[in-house]
Amino acid sequence: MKDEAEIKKSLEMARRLFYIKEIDLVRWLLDVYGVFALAIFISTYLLSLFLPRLEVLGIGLLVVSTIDVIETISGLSSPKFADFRKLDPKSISLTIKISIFGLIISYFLFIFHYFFYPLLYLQFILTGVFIELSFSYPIYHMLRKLNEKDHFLIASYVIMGVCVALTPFNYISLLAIPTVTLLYEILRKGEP
Amino acid sequence: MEVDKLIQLLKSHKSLNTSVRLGILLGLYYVKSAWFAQLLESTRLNKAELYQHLRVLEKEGYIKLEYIPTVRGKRLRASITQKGEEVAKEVLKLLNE
Repeated sequence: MKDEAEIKKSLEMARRLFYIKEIDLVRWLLDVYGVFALAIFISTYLLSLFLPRLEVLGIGLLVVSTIDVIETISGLSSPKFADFRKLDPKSISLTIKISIFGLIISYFLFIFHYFFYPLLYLQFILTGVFIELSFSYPIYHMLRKLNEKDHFLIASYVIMGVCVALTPFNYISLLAIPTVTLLYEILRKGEP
Repeated sequence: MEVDKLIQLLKSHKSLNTSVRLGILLGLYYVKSAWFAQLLESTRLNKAELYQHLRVLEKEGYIKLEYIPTVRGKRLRASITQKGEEVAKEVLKLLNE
């Protein structure tokens, strides 16, 4: 180690690792969210072809999958629920925890919507979530090459917001996305 | 930033006397543990080079390397040790970070 420039290089490397890990975590969360939503949609659709009492069945599926999602996601915030990826909850920043919170809120809003109007707009909502998931991948890879890591998160939330807006979803859910994005921006300033 | 003091400190920790190893240690201090692929992307080294640097850090007791079984096969994960955390804390203190 000879001079300040080399030290700065080390710091830059450390920051890069921090951002990479954070983005990998967000991508994984979107995967969990999107895959479960798609699984519910397909299962409900297929089973509806054979069974008459669809409302009861649909709600049952949602309850089971919600427990599954919560159990998986809680592994990120509590050591008691350490998951197979062996993530250390202490290493997860507040921004990610807020993202998790945002996803859980929107998930519950989605369930409430389903509960009050069984199957009415389910297809559109889940298609929206799936489109969001699909779009986040190319954006993720594209921006990662350009090393514009912050923009990935913003783009992901914007797409999520657009998809939610295009579907006849509860208006409250629209507030969740910009709030999470804004909080992310504010908190990012305090990160290393 | 107290560069002179920092350079002196790094001279006493010879294995950290390269920007890459110091970068890995500081990165692991922030995130506690990382997969090999994540370290590869952050350091922009090739696999062999990175592995060599990690082995040096492990030998000195700054980090711990372990193979974790995942759905895609075994993956190498590096995590910071108590000794590594103490050194990183000292370095960051001198850097005012």
